[in-house]
Amino acid sequence: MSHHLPEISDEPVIAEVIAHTNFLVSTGATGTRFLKEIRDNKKIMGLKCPGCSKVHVPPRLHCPTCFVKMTEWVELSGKGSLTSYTVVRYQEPYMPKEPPYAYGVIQMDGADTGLAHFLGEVDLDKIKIGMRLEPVFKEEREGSILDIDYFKPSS
Amino acid sequence: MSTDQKQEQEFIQFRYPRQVPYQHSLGYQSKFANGLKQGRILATKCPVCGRCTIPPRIVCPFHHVKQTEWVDQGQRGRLVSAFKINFPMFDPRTRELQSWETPLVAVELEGGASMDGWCSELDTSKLKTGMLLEAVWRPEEERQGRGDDILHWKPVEE
Repeated sequence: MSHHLPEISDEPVIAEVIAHTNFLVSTGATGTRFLKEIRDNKKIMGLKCPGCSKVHVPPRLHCPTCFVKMTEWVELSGKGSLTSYTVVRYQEPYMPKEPPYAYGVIQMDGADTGLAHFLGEVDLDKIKIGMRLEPVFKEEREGSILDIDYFKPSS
Repeated sequence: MSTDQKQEQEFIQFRYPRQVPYQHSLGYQSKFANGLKQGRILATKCPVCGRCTIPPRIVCPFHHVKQTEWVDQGQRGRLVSAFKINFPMFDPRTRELQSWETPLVAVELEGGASMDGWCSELDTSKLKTGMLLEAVWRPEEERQGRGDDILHWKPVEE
């Protein structure tokens, strides 16, 4: 059966697959409260742990250290310091902005955790860890973390 | 909280529609894909037990030795089992609704390996274990070296 058939090539084959996904993600009660305050009041809120007193921004339902439920909401000024950053200089599908742009982790005054967001109105070569930042809100807000357009250097 | 208040409470949710293009090498299985493009089914054969494996694999799962021999499995095989799925399913590659009229069959090929496929006979009462089936291929120019290059398995008279 197999002896008279021609040899099959073992030339490598590249398979091309497009994976389609359409996830619907709920932000839950905690995430909704956080996003609604940004959308409706331009306020950034955190949750304070009754155990270790750390303030979590973005908020989460339970403290990851103490495993207790957090219920005390704390309003923050939105101003904070840059703890880490990266500059994106390449393009990929589904990137939210045209490169080059910068992501930063901003630890807000009164918060103990960092919020990742874009950095704007800043020379990408002059970003410094520890620089002071403040949020710039979009005019049209729809209940998304992108209702904060970016964080810009503050005086 | 009353039911009415619960209904009024807003929950923010958002959608992530994504189409992620993947490219990956089939590696050792490339020869199997090249065979499908030419309308041939190849399997790897264990040098110890002689068992043929589809999809092909480098190492025999029972004897842990390298399988270097490729064996042509022919175009025909015997029906091992058949079943129908009685609810709609989507093909994740194309997002097209798969027909749930079509039975799925496991076929033991002439070369000894087994593989799955669709069956052209829609009436499962006419499918009998051990009956002879033949591969019906996609036109050669449409084949992509994938499992669905075999459109279905057709019962043949003996």
